[in-house]
Amino acid sequence: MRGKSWNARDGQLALLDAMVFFVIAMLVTNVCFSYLGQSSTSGLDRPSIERCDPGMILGVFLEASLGRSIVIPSSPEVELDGKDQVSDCLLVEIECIEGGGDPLIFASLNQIFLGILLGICPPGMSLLLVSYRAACLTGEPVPIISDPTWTTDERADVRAASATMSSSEQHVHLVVLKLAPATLPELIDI
Amino acid sequence: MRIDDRGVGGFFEDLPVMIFVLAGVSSLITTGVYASEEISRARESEELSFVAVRMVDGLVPHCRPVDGAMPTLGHIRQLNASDICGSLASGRHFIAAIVMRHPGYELLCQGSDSVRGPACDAIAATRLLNALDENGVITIVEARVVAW
Repeated sequence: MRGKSWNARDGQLALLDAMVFFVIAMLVTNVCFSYLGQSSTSGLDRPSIERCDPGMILGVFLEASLGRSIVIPSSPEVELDGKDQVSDCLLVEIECIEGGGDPLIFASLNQIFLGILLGICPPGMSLLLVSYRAACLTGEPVPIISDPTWTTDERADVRAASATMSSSEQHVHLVVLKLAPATLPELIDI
Repeated sequence: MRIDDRGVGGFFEDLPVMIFVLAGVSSLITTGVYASEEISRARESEELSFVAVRMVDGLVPHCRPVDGAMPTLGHIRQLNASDICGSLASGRHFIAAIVMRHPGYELLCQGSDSVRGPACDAIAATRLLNALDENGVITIVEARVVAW
């Protein structure tokens, strides 16, 4: 009887040790796999935000030509030629809106801007283009283009670039381009 | 018959212990092997990324005329992307292309190392630049290199 009880107790201790070792090994494995799973997105599957340069995108966007002629139904009407640079057209729009003009008359121009930007941004990105009067950066920005997939929430994965533009009245404007990966619900909504 | 008073229960009593120990050890070994493979793959990707960026950065200056003026589409169409990128490829396979993205879409120039085969872990690098077309319109052109 004495021998039997010693036998059972020692055997259970060894089994308990083995189980503890197994559980610890499983925990270590889980931690390693979760860490490796997060960091193993490489190559062409890497999220686009890491590979996109908003400064380069904004630079070529502002320097490019509009591409096609358009008439802005303001008073007086403004005719923009296809060879006009985007930065000049943008300046016309900002000056008009800041002067109290109706932003809706620039809807077709903004569609052209949005088309250009979406064409040169990496796929799956949402974007926002705003303008600030450089003299009062704390003031309300003038929204120019807002991609329908852009959310107004504060996001940690936003990348931005800015450029300054000067008008003939010596007003300096700061144009800011923000880019962020569009989340799945936003894309589904579209 | 002798009483076993030292807790030695024989093979069948130790079997569950052995199974747990073997399962734990094998999971640790599997994790180690997988982790080392992932690390070497990440290092390989980093090296590929460096090569792809170097190739596209080497391609862009050739798009600009020697006088430093804005590139023209005519000049870009005459580039030999295979030769330019081939000298920077460091033995890697690649495909290079220069494409107009605005106001239209047009393949201006392309090149590769003439090797056909599966691209296992490919890395792409792109650069955007402005170029003048024949009508005086400033276009947006993308230079892209995929290396593997």
